[in-house]
Amino acid sequence: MIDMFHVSKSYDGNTKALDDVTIKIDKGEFLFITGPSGAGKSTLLKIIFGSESPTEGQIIIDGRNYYRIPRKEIPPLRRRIGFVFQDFKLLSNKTVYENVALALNVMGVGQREVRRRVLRILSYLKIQHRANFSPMSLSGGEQQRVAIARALVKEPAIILADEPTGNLDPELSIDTIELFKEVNNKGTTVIIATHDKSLIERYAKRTAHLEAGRFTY
Amino acid sequence: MGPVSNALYFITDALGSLRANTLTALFTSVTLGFALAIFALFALLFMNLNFALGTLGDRTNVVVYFDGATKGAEVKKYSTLIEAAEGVRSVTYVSSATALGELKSEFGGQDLFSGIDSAMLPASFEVMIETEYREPEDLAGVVAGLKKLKWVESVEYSAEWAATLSSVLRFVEVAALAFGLFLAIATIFIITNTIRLTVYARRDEIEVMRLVGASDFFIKAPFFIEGVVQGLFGGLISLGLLLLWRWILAANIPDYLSFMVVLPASTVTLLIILVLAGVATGVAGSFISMAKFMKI
Repeated sequence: MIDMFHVSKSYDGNTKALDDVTIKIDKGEFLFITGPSGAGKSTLLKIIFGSESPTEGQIIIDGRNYYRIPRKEIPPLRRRIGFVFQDFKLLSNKTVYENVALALNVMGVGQREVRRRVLRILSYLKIQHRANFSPMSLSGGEQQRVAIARALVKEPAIILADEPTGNLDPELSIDTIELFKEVNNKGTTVIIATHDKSLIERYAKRTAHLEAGRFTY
Repeated sequence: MGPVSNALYFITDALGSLRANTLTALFTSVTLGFALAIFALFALLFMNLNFALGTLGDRTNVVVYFDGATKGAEVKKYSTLIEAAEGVRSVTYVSSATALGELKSEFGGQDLFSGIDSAMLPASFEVMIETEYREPEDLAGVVAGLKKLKWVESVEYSAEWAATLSSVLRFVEVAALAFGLFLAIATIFIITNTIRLTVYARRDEIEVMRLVGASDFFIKAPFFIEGVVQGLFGGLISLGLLLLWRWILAANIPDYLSFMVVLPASTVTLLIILVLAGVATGVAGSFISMAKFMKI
């Protein structure tokens, strides 16, 4: 499903965030990308997401080469990928419902269908009672769930999560990963960037370790 | 989502966002209104001044004197010939009697001229010149043409007046163009920056929309609608301000300057012009301001 060949990414011409990275991620796979802060985990996810382009190398998603992807092809790609951002990226001037609905609105889904799917995912994540609240009035764990709800509501083929447990206590962290496991069981490819070793040890899933922009496995 | 429900979504979203940012939207509309009103007031004053100066050009008279006593049929023939000459707008026949009458009324009484016979004053044709022939060189050409008519004895005109008027008109045009350009640039700068502030306040929203896969059209559409609404209100505000300023000016300027504040069109026409200008500026301002944030 995702093939990266000799992908490198450098900023300002010299700082290498990724250095000759090659990896193949199959459809329906659950993958942990690990490594210390600054190892290049976020950069890797951003390249798959199309918000960064590689300096060198090729990236193929579903047989389509996304190296230097044309600007107009980025939105359709992103609609197929759910991204859970480390800082959630929720809009404070919109309610929880509106934040989640946005992911479907941009896809042109009808309002009745939007309502049905948003309420279903909020209920699935046990935050339906917060639907009309501003995300800013929610706890960190609840905000995390809203961010996950927004990523899942469009039923994406791929879920990318950047340190999704970074702001959560251990119990909530396990709940969150369990949630991703459930989604993965339904066939969605899940790629999680984390530096939390206890989580990786708890789940016997494929792990790729990044160190200074290179995979060490 | 079909085009209708898409449009409904965009309108709802735009109105919701205007409601959520009422103060900012109001500030933008008021700024736009003031900027447009200043520009409109300038345009109004310039148009009236230009028109007034243009009417001064009607004084660019050429008087054609001709030989001997003429009968009615000849007057008609000569008049037609002069009217057919290049650069002539109209011809008025001034008989000796009319000339004497005019002279008397200019001096305010008849006593002074009581012994004078009208035959002492020659009859003439007063020739009005077309606007585009009022430049000194063109005017000289028209006069030369008239002089070629064989029955014409002499042609009189004020070359000095034509030269002065021409230079005044040119100065006013250049000054108005320079000031108008300056005002237009300042207006665009103010409006673009005001709208940029409102767009900047919502850069997070644009970023998140991009991240969830919104197309450029999807992101721009609500801003476009907001630009239209803000421009609409800006246009209405500018009309109100223009009428208010005009009223204040009219009440405070001497009568001989009242021609400066005459409205060139009906209030409805002005409303249409200003609202259209407001909407166009609002939309253009939104798009220019957004361009930077669309790269996120």
